[in-house]
Amino acid sequence: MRCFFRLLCYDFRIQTRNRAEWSSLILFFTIVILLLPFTLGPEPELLRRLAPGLIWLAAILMSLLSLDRLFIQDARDGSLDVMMLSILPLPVVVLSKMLAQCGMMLAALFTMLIPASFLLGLDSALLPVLALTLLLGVPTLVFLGGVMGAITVTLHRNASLLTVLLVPFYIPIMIFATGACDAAAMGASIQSNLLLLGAILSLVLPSAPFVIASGLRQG
Amino acid sequence: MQIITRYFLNPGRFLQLAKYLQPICAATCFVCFSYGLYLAIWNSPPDYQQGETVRIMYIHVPAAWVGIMIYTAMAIAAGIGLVSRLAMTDIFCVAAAPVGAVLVGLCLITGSIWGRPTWGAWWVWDARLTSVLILFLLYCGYIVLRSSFDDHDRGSRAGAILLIVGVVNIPIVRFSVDWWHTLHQPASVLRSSGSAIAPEMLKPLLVMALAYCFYAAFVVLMRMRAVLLARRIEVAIMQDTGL
Repeated sequence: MRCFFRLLCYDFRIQTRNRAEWSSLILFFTIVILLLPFTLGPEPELLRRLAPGLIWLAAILMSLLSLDRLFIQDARDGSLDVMMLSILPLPVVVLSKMLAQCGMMLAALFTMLIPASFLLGLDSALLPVLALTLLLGVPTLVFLGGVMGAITVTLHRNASLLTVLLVPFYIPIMIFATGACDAAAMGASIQSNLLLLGAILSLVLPSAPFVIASGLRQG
Repeated sequence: MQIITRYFLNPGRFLQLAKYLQPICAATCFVCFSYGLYLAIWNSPPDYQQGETVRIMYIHVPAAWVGIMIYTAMAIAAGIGLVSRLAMTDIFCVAAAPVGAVLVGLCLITGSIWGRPTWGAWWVWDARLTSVLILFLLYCGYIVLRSSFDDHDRGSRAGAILLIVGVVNIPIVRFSVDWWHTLHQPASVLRSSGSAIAPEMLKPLLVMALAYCFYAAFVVLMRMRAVLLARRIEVAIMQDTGL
């Protein structure tokens, strides 16, 4: 257990010190948000209505951007082999790495969430709901991305392939997340959509590390 | 159990067996298709609400059934393959994936053509349609993933993991019409309170389903033989060139 916590601290420290990754994620998210008013037209009413969906779209694109490097980098510099030789079981090592990745993604998203919501004119009452859906949804995205990243780790150019593999699994999460935001905007109950998102997360969180580990071992 | 699977999953024996099964499947498929299409087009009543457009059902519904069936069979084969490392399970998945993708694609296209006169739209974002679209994307993802590996051993295991993870979609496709209030009509053939469909419509539907099953079996067997022989050729070339 203590080993696990030390590993977790180590993984988090690696993520926080990876400035290039941070700035590229934040920049990418901002650019997507900045481009949307130009493609949709700058009418405030339209943007206000679409804002939760647009922020989710930017979050999905951001996660696709960061996930294709998730295991490739480790495989290239040899740390993947070290992970496999570790005294801790491989699923535990993977869990710590994925948690650190989730932490970074969420931190990057939440730093940009408030500026983005101003840019798109998001209703401030919707902001907590949107934050909650991101909190429940983004870890699922990262863990699913880890699964697909693990099975494609031996293919060195996997970015477009990863997108094809991930989109079918991302669709339900997007549906429930934007469903919750829509329900909140119309004043209906958001409980069922949030519960579904939570259910998916609690299914993915314990099972994904094992799948990722078996995917990495075959490489 | 293991002896039985080992016996039938021996490639040489499979090739012999497939040689006999394939024409039988083709003939049954032809007979069922001719009889089923005759029943569907000339010998079944038009629907009292939808009129003649209901005949699309005889193409649409069996395609969906067999498309889902093939995915389930692939996922089971993938599970067996991960445990037992038998090459035949991978050959089955590789051979069956395009067949399943085409059937699900056919289901989506015919559904769209059927949706236009009955719902007034080519496509609606309803739970059943979306989940079937996801199934189609899963098939495409599997095909792309599998074809990007040169190494069959690694590719088969990566593909197997994808297939097994994607199996969560199958109950969603099946029960989406019950869980959400969808525009797509609820299940009417297989349900606990008995079939809700008129017997003169059920009969052509079941004959067509049989025809689709034998069609899938025929094409999958043919493709499995081709994949198996292609791998043998690969091995022979590698031995020849001394790689």
